[in-house]
Parts: sequence; structure tokens; C-alpha cells
Amino acid sequence: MMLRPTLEDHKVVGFYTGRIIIGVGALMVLPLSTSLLFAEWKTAIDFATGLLACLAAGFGLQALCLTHQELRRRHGLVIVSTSWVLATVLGAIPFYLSGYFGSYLDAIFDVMSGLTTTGLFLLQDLDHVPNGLNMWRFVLTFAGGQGIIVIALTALFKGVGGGIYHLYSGEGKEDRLLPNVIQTARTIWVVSLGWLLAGTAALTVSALALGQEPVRALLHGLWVFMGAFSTGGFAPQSYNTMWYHSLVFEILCVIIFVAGSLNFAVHWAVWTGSRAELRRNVELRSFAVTLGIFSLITAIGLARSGLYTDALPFVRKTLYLVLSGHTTTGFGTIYARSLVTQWGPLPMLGIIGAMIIGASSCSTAGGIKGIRVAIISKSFLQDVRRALSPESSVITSRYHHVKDRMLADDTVRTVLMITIAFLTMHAIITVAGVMAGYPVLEAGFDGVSAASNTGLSCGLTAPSMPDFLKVVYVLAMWLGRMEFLAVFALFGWIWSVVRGR
Amino acid sequence: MDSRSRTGGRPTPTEQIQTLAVFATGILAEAMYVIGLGALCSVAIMAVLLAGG
Repeated sequence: MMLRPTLEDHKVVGFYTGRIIIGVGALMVLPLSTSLLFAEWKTAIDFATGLLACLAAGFGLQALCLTHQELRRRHGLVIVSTSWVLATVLGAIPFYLSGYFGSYLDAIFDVMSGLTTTGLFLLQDLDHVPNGLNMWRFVLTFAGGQGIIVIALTALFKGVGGGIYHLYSGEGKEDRLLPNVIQTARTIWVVSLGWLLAGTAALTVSALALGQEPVRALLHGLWVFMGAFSTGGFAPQSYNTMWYHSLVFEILCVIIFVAGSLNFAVHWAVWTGSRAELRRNVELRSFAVTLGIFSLITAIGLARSGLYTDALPFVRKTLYLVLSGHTTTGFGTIYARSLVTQWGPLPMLGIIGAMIIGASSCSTAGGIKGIRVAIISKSFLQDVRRALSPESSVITSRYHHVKDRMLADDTVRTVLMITIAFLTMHAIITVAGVMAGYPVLEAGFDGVSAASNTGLSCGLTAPSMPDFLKVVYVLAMWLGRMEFLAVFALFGWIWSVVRGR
Repeated sequence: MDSRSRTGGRPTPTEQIQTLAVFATGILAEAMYVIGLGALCSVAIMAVLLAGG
């Protein structure tokens, strides 16, 4: 039985959602400033309109729902889901006003893709968009990578009760880097900003070496960093990172997006002196094993196709695409349609497998996550050992993830539940693609890419795709990023309003 | 990492530099990890090419 939420419950949800939306509006100051800096007046007006809409919605909700009731567990997840919906709808305003999108749905698609760090896009004429508009794409993806709730927790929340942990965990992050959730959120930003400085500097120097003029090099360095570290996959050019044609640039991208796919708790452990974490962490071991498996599958398919006969392009293209898929980044160094017309089924299946697994939990990455693969594998091995041992023996398993942990049945159950939910979603989204008239492999590739928040495309995702498929992809991106729980909590909340007691 | 001075209050410039140095070596350690992982995979991929798939 679900209890019908009281008016006070609705007020708590509305009040804190309003606060988060103010935070989202504050982010629009960055693209607005960029537009003003480059004298892009029309774009500046678009962002001023979006900013005003966010502030009006945020302050309006706070005024309407003013409450002193404490934030509780049942509110936390609902606030997260509601905030993401509102942030997407309001964040799409400047996109839509820009004229670079065919419809408001297309603009919503790109905002959801950015916030969930997916990287699929329906924006038209990307190579000629104003700097302000491009800045918003990357701010969305960088902020979404850390989490819009993490941003709000960093700056806007103080002493609001026990529900604050559920705000944090509702965005698919469970590990606390420090005992205090707000300190954890701030630490996530310390890590991200540390990498932002180092990564942007390296990419800017590389872009300068490629002959870009300084301001352009800085913008490209910053934007590509944001797309890479957030495992977002947005790039400032329509040819994605293939546009740079530079091995050094690609290596830097790989370093940044693999680093972005690491668990923030692992970052913090390494940054505070525990270098051994990179060797001992079960999630990273799992990632190394699955990376090896999917690299081999892809390489076998490509070697048989005879597409690349020289070693360097063969290794370079294979490793880049598999790593991009496995970390759910979505950067590419080949034309989208080449996956179908040149790479063929086996390499595509290799990348689909990598995308499904994804990278680390509590990172910017999507997918099932390495920790879940590791826990399921450990649990399976534990059951085999149990079957082969005397009945009286007690068989336990341990694993290392920042600290040593015992494998508990409850953990396995939760992990299996989320894994099954992900696999079901991949199946449903593939069927939806086939129903829209696309071949099964292409429907599976782009569908899995959306649901795992990757962003690689074999050419299916385009403004001309059916609207119903766009809606399915938007929902899949949202569900994948929230890891189901927060979205289902919102549905449950709505249901309990109707049918609760 | 707590970069505040042991005597309380704001961290001294030396302590700030030490903290930055620790963070920088953390970033370098992660970059080296990625390069090592990539190198291992490259060898495996190369072996596939040499074996003809």
C-alpha cells in the first residue's frame, strides 16, 4: 500500500525542485556570457529568455511551495526526477529559439542527451552554430556528468535533513567519498575542476599545434574536454573527433574520457595517495577484462573485413571506438555510416557489448557498470564453489572497491534487478527501432547507445527519424542515467496521488 | 584532502602548493594507468591483425 502524499509533501517536492531549477538557470549565465563576448546578440537574447524562464519557474515554485518541513527519504527521489524533467524542458528553450532545431521535441532530445551525457544529437548545421549555443551544449553535458543535483548540493543546500542522501543517490551515484553528502558533492567538483584545468590545457596546446588560432584552440580544448571527461560525446564539429585528424589529440581524448569514466571515489583515493586502488579495485579489473574481450571481438571482425591492412590505423580505430563505447563516451573517428557499410556486424556487436556494460559506477559514465558485472561474476563463482564444497562449509566472497567488502545476498539481488532492467530496456528500445522500420542491427546499435548514455551512432539518429522513436530515446536516456529508481519513484508518487490511501 | 593549516584557519601557501602537487601526481597516475591499459589492449589487437582475424 502506498500512502497518498499530503499537501506538505507536495510542497517539499516543489520547494526543493524550485531550488534546483534556479541552479540550472544559473548555468545559463555561461552561454549567455559567451554570446555577449562574441557579440552574438540574437543568441544572447535566447539565453536571457531561457534564464528568465528558469528563474521564474524556480522562484515561483519556491514561493508557491514555501515550507519548513524537513526533506525526507520519500521526497528525495521524486525531487530528482521532477528536477530532471523541468531542467530538460526549460533548458530546451534557448535551443529551440536558436532556429537550429526542427521542433521543440528535437531541442528536448538534445538537452536530455547532454544532461545524461549521451551525445546523440538532432541539432542541424552543427559546424556553423554560434559559440554561445555550442557552449550550452557542453555546459549541459559537463554539468550532467557531475549531476545537476550534485551542482545544487554544492552551492544551494545546507542542513535539510536525512532525505539529502536520496537526492544524491537518485542520480545514479551511491558511493560517498566523504561521510557528509554535501562534502562529497564538493569533492566531486574538486576532481572535475582539477581535470578540467589539466585536460583543457593539454587539448588547447594540441589544437594550437594543429594550427588553430588561439581563441578557437581554447574553445575547442575546453569543449572537447567537457565532452570527453563527462563521457558525453558532444564535439564542436559534425565529424566529431575525426575532424582533428591527429593521433596526439586522440590519445589525449582517450586519457580524458577513460579518466572521466572512473568512479569519483577511485579518483579521490588515488588523489589522496592510494595509487594501489587503480590495481586493486574490482571495478577496474572488471573493466580491463571486458575491454579485452570486446576489443578482440571488434578486432577479429575488422581483421576479417580487410578494411585496415596497416597496423597503426587498425589499432588506432579499433581501440578508440571500443574505448569510446565502453566508457559510454560516444566520440568517433569514423563516419557514422561506416559502421554499417564498412565495419559490418561483428565489430558492431563488439561495440554494442561494450556499450551495454559501460564503465564505472558513481562516475560520469552510463551502462550497467563494471561493479555490477564484477558482483554478478563473483556471485556466480561463489555459487559454483558452494556446489562443489561439503554442505557444512561456509563459503564467502570478498571484493575490493575503495575498501574491502563482503559479498552480501542483498547486494547481489539489487545488482541483478538493475541489470535485468537495463537488459529489458535494451531489448524494448531495439524492438521500437525495428517497429520504426530500421534493420535490427542498426536499431540495436543506436538504441543501446541511447539507453546506455553512450552517443555513438550508425546513422539512424537524425532529425528525420520518427517522433515516437525520438520520445522513446529521450525516455531511455533518462531511465539509463537515473538507473530506473528515481524515475519509478516519480511514477509511484503520481500513482499514489491517484490511488494511495 | 584537507588543505587547512594544522594550526587552523586558511592554508598557508606552502600547504596549498603541497596539496596541488599531490593532486597533480594523482592526475598523472591516472593518465599513466590509461596509457598502460591502452598499450596492453593495443598489443592484443595487433596480435589479432597478425593472426589474420
